[in-house]
Amino acid sequence: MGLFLFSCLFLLCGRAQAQGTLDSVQELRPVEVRGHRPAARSANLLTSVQVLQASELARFHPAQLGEAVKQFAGVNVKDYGGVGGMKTVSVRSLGAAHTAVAYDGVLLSDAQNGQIDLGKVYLDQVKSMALYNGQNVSIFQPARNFASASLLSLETYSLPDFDSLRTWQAGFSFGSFGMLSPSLSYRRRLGKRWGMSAALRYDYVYGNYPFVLDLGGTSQELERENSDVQSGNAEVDFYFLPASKHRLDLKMVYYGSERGLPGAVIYYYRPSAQRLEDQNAFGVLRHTWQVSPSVTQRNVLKYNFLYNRFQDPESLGSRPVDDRYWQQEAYLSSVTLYQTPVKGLSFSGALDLAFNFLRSNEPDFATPVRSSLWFNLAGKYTHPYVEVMLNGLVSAFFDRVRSGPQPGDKFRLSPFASVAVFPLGNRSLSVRVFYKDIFRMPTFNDLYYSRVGNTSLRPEQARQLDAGFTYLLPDKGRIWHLEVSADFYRNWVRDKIVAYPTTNLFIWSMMNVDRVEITGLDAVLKAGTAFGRSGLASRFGLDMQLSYTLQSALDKTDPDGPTYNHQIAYTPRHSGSARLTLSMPYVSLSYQAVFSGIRYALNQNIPENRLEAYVEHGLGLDVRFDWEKAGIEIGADWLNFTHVQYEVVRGYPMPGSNYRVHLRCRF
Amino acid sequence: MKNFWKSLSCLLPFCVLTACEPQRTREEGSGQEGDVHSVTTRMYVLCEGLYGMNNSSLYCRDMRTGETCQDIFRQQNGRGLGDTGNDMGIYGSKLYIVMNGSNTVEVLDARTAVSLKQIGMRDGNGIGRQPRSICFEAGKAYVCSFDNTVCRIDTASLEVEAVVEVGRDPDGICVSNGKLYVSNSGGLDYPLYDSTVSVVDLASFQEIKKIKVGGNPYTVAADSLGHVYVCTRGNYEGFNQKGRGPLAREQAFPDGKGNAGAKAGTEGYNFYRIDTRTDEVDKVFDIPVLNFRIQGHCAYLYHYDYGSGDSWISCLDLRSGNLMEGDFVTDGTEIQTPYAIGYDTYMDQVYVGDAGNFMVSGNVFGFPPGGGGCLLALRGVGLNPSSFAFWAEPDTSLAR
Repeated sequence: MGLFLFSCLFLLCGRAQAQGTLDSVQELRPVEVRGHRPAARSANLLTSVQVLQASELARFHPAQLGEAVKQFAGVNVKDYGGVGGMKTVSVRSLGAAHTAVAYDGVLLSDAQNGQIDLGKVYLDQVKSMALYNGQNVSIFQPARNFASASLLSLETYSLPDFDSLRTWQAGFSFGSFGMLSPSLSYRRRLGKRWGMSAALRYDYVYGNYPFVLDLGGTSQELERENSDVQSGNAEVDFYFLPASKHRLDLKMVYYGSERGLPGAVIYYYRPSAQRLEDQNAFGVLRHTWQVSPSVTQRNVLKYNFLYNRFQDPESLGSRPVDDRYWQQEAYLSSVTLYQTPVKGLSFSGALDLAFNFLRSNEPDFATPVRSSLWFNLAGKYTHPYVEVMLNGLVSAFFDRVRSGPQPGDKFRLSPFASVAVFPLGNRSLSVRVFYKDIFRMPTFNDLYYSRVGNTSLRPEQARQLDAGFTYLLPDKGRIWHLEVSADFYRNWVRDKIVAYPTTNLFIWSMMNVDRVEITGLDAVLKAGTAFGRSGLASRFGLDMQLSYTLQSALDKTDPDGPTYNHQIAYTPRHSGSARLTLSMPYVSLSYQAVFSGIRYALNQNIPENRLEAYVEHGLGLDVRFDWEKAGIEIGADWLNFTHVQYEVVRGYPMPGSNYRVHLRCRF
Repeated sequence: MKNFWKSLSCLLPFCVLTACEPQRTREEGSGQEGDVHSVTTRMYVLCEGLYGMNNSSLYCRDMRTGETCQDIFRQQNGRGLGDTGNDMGIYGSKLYIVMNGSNTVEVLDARTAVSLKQIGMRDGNGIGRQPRSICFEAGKAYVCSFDNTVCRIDTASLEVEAVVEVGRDPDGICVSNGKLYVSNSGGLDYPLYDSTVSVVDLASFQEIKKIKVGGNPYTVAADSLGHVYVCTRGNYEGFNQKGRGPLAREQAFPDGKGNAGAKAGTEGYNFYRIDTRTDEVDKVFDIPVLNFRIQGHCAYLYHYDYGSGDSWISCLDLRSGNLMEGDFVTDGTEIQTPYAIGYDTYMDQVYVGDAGNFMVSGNVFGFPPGGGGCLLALRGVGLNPSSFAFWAEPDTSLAR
């Protein structure tokens, strides 16, 4: 029961039902999109959770995770433009380094950079994604999953889903700026107790899109150069259920890319010739075990390898710039869930260990090894009218270096508390509050990067307080649905790790200087209806989703400084998104818009630093039908169709109007 | 704050028109009568901006009316200066601005700030030279660039005439005794800095010597007595983590004169004197100098310790080798991060650019030549004020 409850939450963020063994997870069937069907409804949970199912994703065909995530409230995707431009997600103005990304329950990690480039994730594999503020609502999680201020959790298709999916899927996408992407995947149950999947994708983008450069009075029509990208994803997964009380998952994931870095647009000068190569491979072995009716355990073993190489053939130094970094990580996790005899009360304990190793061809590189330990104790009580979750996370970090100064060992205790009340007793209305005190460790780059690194950095502290409500219209055979939620929050960031130039503009260093106070509001409205209860009309429907974010993220560093109480850089005060989908038999049409208010490129809110507000509109068409025995899917998107010229990051113009076409065949 | 900026930008068109255009013809006429004292009519402050953000700006203040313009270049030319303005200078009636990131030298009419020409600073393969500093002599402008060259630009045709190799990574340039002195920082090869000053004969335009100084030399400047001074920064020791630690005034000047010379040649901040007759180092001052400006017999020096945020400004008497007694700034004016020092030769005032935390619009403070209280404080001139230029016109009040 216990396991099921939590894996269910885990998989679908769905509602709890009583089930027995591990196999019974197979009972969950993914929703296949065919005509109009309301998206799987989620029940109210402890903290605010925003979920996107693959079925919803399929309506607007995001090519990258970063595009999909823009739909969430409270999210600020930092986008350097184009397919090759890095995309990271900052939640509630805390900065991208505070957002953890879990892939099937295990965090993606990069100890060198600390933030995950969302472009690396193979979106076709993702069945659902959920953004948790604070942390996952399940306590059956590895300890490290509790160690971030927010968690973007991605779930891929796995064994029980295969029963309702076709075995093969071949895809081909193409689009503006010389983009093409063939893909092939195989998902199959190979016996009563096991199954496997394999997926392969290749992407190429020439990427040189036109843009208009405003020189400050006059403008120039230019084309982005050196922005070609080649990348590939490969993933092989095995699922094995040797006995009814055991489940083994083995994942092997590879991502590789080689790209030009067009750099910021520089007036009167041509783009850079810098190149970046990335290789990432990881394997995860996960064992879930029903020890007894009340005790469940999950053990995880992960090995992660990352390599990156940066070249600048036009550098004026004596040696050509050719920096290479090799990173390895070994990660072990064990979490045990105990369902107490008291109905609804459960506890979990988790112990995680990670060893990170970074080496480089840089002379005199620190070559750090970091041993990390996380120990988490959590308790949760679930009652029809109330739900409470408490946890305490102890973490310890030990860095050892081969040369240069060595940072001190770090220990932290991080508490979390959350209470949700369901006044109607049926979870259609929840009122909730949570508090979390967490931090992020300085990354290897923060600490050891040549000249920039500063080994005396302290962890960056983030405290979050959130209060919110969600109302879900109860499903009493209605053909329409409605969901409203709003969260008010206050975050305090202390010892923010920021790069500042020192002595001159060629020498920057990391410092723990800034303090930020964030007050915000996230609001989401979802509504939809079918046009009839039965017959043809029931296959027509209209769905919409609106989200709005208000963020006042104020610099509180120095009361006498010129930026005190100014909105911090790259944080719009107002932002939002809208999505409207019209579903018909065989065809669905969707419209989406992403809005961002004015932002400032630096912390000082003066006109010189201002970035203008923008709204980006997109249209999507999705056609699905069966031909012979194959399921055919044709998608077309017209993105930024109003041809708005805007920048998310100063000097990195975004592409104007562009299109994409997706062809998919399932058989 | 916002309203302040708004109102300022509204005022700008007026300030330029009223400040710059009138009276010119009459002044020129009176100027020809001779014996007219020039007064500074305009102060330009080049604000470097931040690398990759195209936000260099040219602040301008009319010294008679006090009217200011945040970016007169943009206003007069309908475009921005570009990226990372490192240096500028006035020669004749032209203002030359060295743009490192944009790889250009903008040549302006110094009176109106209207661009006369944008000189591209690229090598034969189209790769930017990354120009750093400029100096002038006998109708030519000399620009040193990070690509290990000095370019000679004819100030009449505004064309690059000749290029000579120096290096590595020249940072500063000056002229003395018919020769160019170029400091080779080697900064792009960190941590393997260069430690030489290249001497280029102006007549043959060939490098004739490399003079050994301390590691990572920066600014070079000549005095009127045939000496060239250069400050070296080593590996920025005394900054960030290790080294000399916080540079309190007492530590900076152990013997009170800054003339110890005992630690000459040690890595770190030092101040060297080169005799231009022999082209040898003839004196080492054990003073940690980040940057300086020479005027007459005085070198205005400053230092800033990033680790502690401490800084000082002082004046070194070049004849006696003694540092001034007491503080240069006497009225407690708070200069957070001295980033540039300039001297208005017409009005005899020292100006200091304050970069703040490098990410905010900086300030400029003016002081009397012997130090004292702040005479003029200009706030929010732009990001990282890095150099000054002064445009003077004959004093009409005297002419009348």
